[in-house]
Amino acid sequence: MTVSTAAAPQKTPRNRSTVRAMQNRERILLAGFLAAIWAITTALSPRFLTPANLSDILVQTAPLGFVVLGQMVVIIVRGLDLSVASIMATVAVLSTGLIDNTAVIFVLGLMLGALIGTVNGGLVAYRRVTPFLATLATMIVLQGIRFAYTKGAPGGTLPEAFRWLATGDIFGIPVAPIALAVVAFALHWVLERTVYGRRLKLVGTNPDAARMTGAPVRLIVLSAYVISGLTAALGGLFLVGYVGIVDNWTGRGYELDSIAAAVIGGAALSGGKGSVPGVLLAALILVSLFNIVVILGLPIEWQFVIKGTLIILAATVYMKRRRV
Amino acid sequence: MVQPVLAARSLSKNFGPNEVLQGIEFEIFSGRAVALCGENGAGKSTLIKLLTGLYAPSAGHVEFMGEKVVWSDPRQSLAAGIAVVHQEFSVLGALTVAENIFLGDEPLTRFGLIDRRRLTCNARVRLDNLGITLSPDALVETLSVADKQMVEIAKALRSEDEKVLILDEPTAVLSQNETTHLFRIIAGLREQGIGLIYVSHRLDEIFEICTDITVIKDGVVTTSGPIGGYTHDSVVSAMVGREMGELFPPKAAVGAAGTVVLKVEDLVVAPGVPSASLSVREGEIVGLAGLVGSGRTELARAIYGADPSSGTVTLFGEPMPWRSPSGCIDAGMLMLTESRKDDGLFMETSVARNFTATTPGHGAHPAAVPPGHEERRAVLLKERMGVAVDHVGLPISALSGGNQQKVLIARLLENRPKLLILDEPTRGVDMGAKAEIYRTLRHLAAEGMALLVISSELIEVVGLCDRVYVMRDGEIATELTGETITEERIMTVAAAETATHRGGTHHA
Repeated sequence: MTVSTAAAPQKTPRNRSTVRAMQNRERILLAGFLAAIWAITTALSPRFLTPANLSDILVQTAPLGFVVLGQMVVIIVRGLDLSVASIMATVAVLSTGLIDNTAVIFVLGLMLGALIGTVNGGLVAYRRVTPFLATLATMIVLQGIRFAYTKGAPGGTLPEAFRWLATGDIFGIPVAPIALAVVAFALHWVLERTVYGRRLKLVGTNPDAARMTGAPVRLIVLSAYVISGLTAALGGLFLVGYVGIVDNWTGRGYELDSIAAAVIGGAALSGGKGSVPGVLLAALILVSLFNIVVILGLPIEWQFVIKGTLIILAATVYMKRRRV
Repeated sequence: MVQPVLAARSLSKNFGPNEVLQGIEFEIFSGRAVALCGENGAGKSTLIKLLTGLYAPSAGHVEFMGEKVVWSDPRQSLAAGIAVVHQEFSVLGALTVAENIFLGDEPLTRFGLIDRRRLTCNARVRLDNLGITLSPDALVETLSVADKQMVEIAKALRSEDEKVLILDEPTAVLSQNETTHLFRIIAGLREQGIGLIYVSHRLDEIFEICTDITVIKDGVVTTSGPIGGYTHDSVVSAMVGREMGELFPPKAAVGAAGTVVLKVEDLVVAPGVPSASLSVREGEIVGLAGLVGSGRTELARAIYGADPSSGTVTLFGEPMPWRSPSGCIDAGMLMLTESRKDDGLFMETSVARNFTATTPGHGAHPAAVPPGHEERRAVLLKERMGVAVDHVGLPISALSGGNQQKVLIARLLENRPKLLILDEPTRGVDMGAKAEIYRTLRHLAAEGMALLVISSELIEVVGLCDRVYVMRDGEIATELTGETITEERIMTVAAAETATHRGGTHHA
């Protein structure tokens, strides 16, 4: 076959960049933003750029980082998981309440997370409930189960090994960010380098076209919620490990923070877009902002103003860039 | 000389590097009907969008009532008196006829509420003037396709001072009787002094109702003048720009087809729709012809397992009990869908990833995709299929329709299909790419592949297919082979009036 643009010979093509180059530029933008706020804060306060504080930021990023990974996967398939915070608390309350062996707590927690994710995904993919409603309902049901189990006051102590996972370090590097890095790397590989990952993004980009190319659309949508259940469970366990107390409201606010981080990190609510490095950078930005507000002694309420502004900024910047 | 109501003066439009229209001269006079002809992708709809202000011209200008105008918004042209009836319906099913006609311009009571009595009354007057016999209170979703079309026209002409009416393929969904009725209405409008632009592929109709004709090919006007100076053949050659023989490769010899590949028996697509049976053999290109809405796409999608159905589908004598697109793909049956945008392409995704969507790890690993694998594979697109793209990492939306279609066909071929179902394989594709696609399809058939091709373009069905099933109202009305495949035979069967036609609401 030969080219058939005879109507327009030798026209300079409009300067369009490749899909990958566009994604890379978005990530560079985020990294630049993070570097900028770090630089400004360093200039304003000597207490910011210290090994102890940076380590703190990384450890605090871990729980949100886990949750945002799953949230991103769900957003890629045009969904939304409002139940992540409820999963975090419920998993933490139930698994630490039932067992006091660290390994078993993790296994049980992950199973619970996967189970809840299966319910969410089943409702969305097979019963065609909108993601918003399905995960909202799950969130409320889980809350009820949690309170019924604890009768309002969760007790139980956390095993030492469990605490170490969230707060300890290996050769000075905190454990929690290492765990996050391992999970993030695995997920990144799955998304970018496997047939499953390719299909997941295609399903999010255009479910009808994906179905016609033989993708098991419903199964893939279901799997996204299972992944979100798993990462929310991990996030919950690392968060209680860090705080040291199991609380019925563990992870409160993480549903919105994780959505915010996913969107700032380049995931589009219209589906099909999202990258692990992007959303992790965004999670790091959100946690850094919180840290900066504390370090600079600003009123704590300011973090919300900054966070909201950031979401609007991200949304408008992406809208402008993507509408080519 | 009389001044035209609406005119294009050396109008040009380009999208990026693509020059869609170049120096178009086009005039519409009041009381006359000008046919706008051209193949799909020739630039007809772009011209209409320029005339009505949906697009801004890259060069040249639009003239209205002798004055140069610059529409910045389609509402301005609408307010000036240019009405368009698009091919896709814009009527709302949940509203009544009257509500649809005056949507957004309802008569109000002095409290600012909708004055229902005046609404109904005004609608009745409009309908009567146009000679349309519909109740203003009828719910639009209960109407037949033809009646919905009438509501569209009444809506377009709701104010008294319309000057131009643009009809984009108005008869695509109409039966013969309904078309005749539409023509009476059109004649009435001409008497009222309205200037008409009539876009249609059906040459018979054009010769019946139009006074002038303008033919566009590849974005330039190839000929225009009073209809009297033209014949069917001269219009076709102006549209196509070449003879049939150049466009289509020679067909397979009669009886050359091999064993039966696909056999469909008593397939019922939806309750109440007649069952359909057909077969496709090795090395054969079988056409599925019929009007828009005759159920061709529905049948194809059911065979492919994209929509539920009952009946049996066998591939090489093996029944396929569990039908889904992925099951069909595994069995060697692949489908090209009608709408690239809706269920064909992943628009903002790269060319390479679109190409490898069905088989991401093809040739490397069943579950993993090595780095750079898809880019390396996609380079073959340029070499083997001649897809014009600078970099396979570009979003596929950057490609022209013809190149997008080539990517999709190349994607299907990656699975080494034994049977291909192609729904409108040349829609929105320029002539050069069309000829290439025809050659490719014939080449595949010669290698033993079985092909089932749906097409709304009769010239394509006649020129390409070895055997043709003609569909009407959801059933296969007849089968044509060899010399009996002619445009006339197909149209006679496809457009015949049947008892079930009125009230038919499904459309492709």
